[in-house]
Amino acid sequence: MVGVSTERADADADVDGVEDEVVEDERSGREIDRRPAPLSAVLAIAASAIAAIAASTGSPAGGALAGIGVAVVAPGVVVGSRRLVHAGALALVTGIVLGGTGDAPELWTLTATVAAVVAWDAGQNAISLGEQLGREADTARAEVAHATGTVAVGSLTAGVAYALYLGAGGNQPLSAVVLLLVAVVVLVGALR
Amino acid sequence: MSATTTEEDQDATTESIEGSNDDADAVVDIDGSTGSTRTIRHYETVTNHWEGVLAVTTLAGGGGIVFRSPALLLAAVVGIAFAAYAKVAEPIPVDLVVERVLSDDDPDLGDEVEVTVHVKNTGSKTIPDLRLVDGVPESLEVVDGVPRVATFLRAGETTSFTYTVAAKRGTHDFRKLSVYARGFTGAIETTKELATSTEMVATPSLEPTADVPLRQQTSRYAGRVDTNTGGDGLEFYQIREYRPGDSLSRIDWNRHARTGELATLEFREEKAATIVCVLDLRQAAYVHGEDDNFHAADHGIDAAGQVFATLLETGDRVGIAALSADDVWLSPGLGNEHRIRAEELFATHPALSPERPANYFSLGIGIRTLRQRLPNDAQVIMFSPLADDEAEKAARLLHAHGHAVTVVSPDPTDDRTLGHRVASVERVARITHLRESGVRVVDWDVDESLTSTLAGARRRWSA
Repeated sequence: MVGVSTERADADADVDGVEDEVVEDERSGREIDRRPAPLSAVLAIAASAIAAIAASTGSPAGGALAGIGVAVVAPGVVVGSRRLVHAGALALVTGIVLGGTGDAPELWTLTATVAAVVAWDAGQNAISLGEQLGREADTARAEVAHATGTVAVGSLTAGVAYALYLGAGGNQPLSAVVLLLVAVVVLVGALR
Repeated sequence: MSATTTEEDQDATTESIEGSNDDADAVVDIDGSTGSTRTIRHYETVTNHWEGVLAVTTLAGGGGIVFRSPALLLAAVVGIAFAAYAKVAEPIPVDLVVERVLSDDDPDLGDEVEVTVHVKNTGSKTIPDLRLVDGVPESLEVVDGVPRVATFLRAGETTSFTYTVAAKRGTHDFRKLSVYARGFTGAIETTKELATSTEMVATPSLEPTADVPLRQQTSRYAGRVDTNTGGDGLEFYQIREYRPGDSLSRIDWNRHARTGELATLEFREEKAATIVCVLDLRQAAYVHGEDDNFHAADHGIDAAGQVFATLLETGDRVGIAALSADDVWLSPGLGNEHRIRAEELFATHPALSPERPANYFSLGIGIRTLRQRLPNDAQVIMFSPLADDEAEKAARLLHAHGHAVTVVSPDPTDDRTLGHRVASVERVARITHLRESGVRVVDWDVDESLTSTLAGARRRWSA
């Protein structure tokens, strides 16, 4: 006879007079909303927007590509798709590279890079928090701590690199940076 | 250090969260010996959080060299720094003490119990990303708050989170707390499961209610049910012709004075009844109205508890059975020991769980088994919402086989939706059919007390 349903999306058990149908009881198995944690999701979108703006100062094509990156990251952190976040971050970086080949001032490119990394990192953190704890859990403290670490490392590195570049650049800016790069690689290799 | 139940440890926490400490995050002192530190599992996983940074950095650096762009090379430096950041990560040491506090560990059914979990970092290092998932027993439902939290915990600091559960019938075990800890980089995640043993027991009241209206089927033992058998008793039944040997005290002397005839008075014999409470615990009985937190089966079990206690008090022999895949049988009996056995059954039998049963129950086999066990003179009080035709069939079968049946039926329908109204009409039809077959049905609106409903039924039937 009549199957039964309620108006509410999170349907509760209904009474069903039909002997053959099994009555669904969803009250005892209430689903946890496992979408990404909102704070980090917002941070990811904001950071990717900053990256796109910074990239567009160098070349409009770069800005456009980075803009696509933002448009891909946004649904990724809303729905909870790691693939979208990776793809969006890749688009952001490609856009930054394009911008860097153009006339982008070094500071803008650095800012864009740090922002892109922050966006990618916050996006992934939002998704993992959502998967483990669900959206409604209070996760602000942990999110802020993690994001602070990433932002700190990025800003510090960018600041030091830029300062060194300005200070030591002089006549041969390009070779100076290449040397810097080599130095950093050697340093990192030594750390392992 | 063994895991301890935490009821008696409430005194050990020296400060409440609303106490004098101004710290935004609660600082509650846990005396280390009262919390739990036993670890069930402990392992680390690599999260691949930073995978790909180096590859992208190489691209950027390569681009910088090809296009002669200092900007890109500087960006590559940032990339390498992050790659190094990720590589340097080591597993975070996780040393925690857990204490779980229930606002009431012996609640009444339906009460809301507040659960507070305190976690202290007893290690020497800060845990930058600590994710906690409390092991709420599956049988309980969280009605307010969230039993999960993620926070930043310095060494020696304690964090707490609170949520509320609704007490359902039975024994509920909070067995563990799951911990996921990460460093700042998030590259390595340490997973730990800490053992806790917090127990909450909620049993049906087993409080006597109003006198339960019983049917005329009785045993041969003396009791309090008025039968239609003449003999010794309190209520007048009939006068019959005198037979030699009748007791002199039973002769109607008034009549003899008037007419000179001898006649004997007879009274309704009072016998004890044997009753078996049959619970409907099939899948179809686990239904409830929109606003109700409890299934009809839960209401039935609660009512059965009260009826059981009442019948024991009045000296009738009462037992418990159920229509369910799990076997439920307590043979009719009397006395304190019997009562204790029943309390244990109500508190711990798996068939009486608040969770909907998953196993299939064959009515034919179930009724046959029940009939084999029922004493010949036993009445049946069946607790069923009559939400499907099989319930009606069960009542009729038992009644037809000589066990007078009374059905106490909690009404699970309300008139919110069309489906409910249809179900309600079908249910009323079943009640009517049963009454026509001679089965008594108490149609119980669960918003009213069982006591008043039974009293009303008793009035109606004691004509």
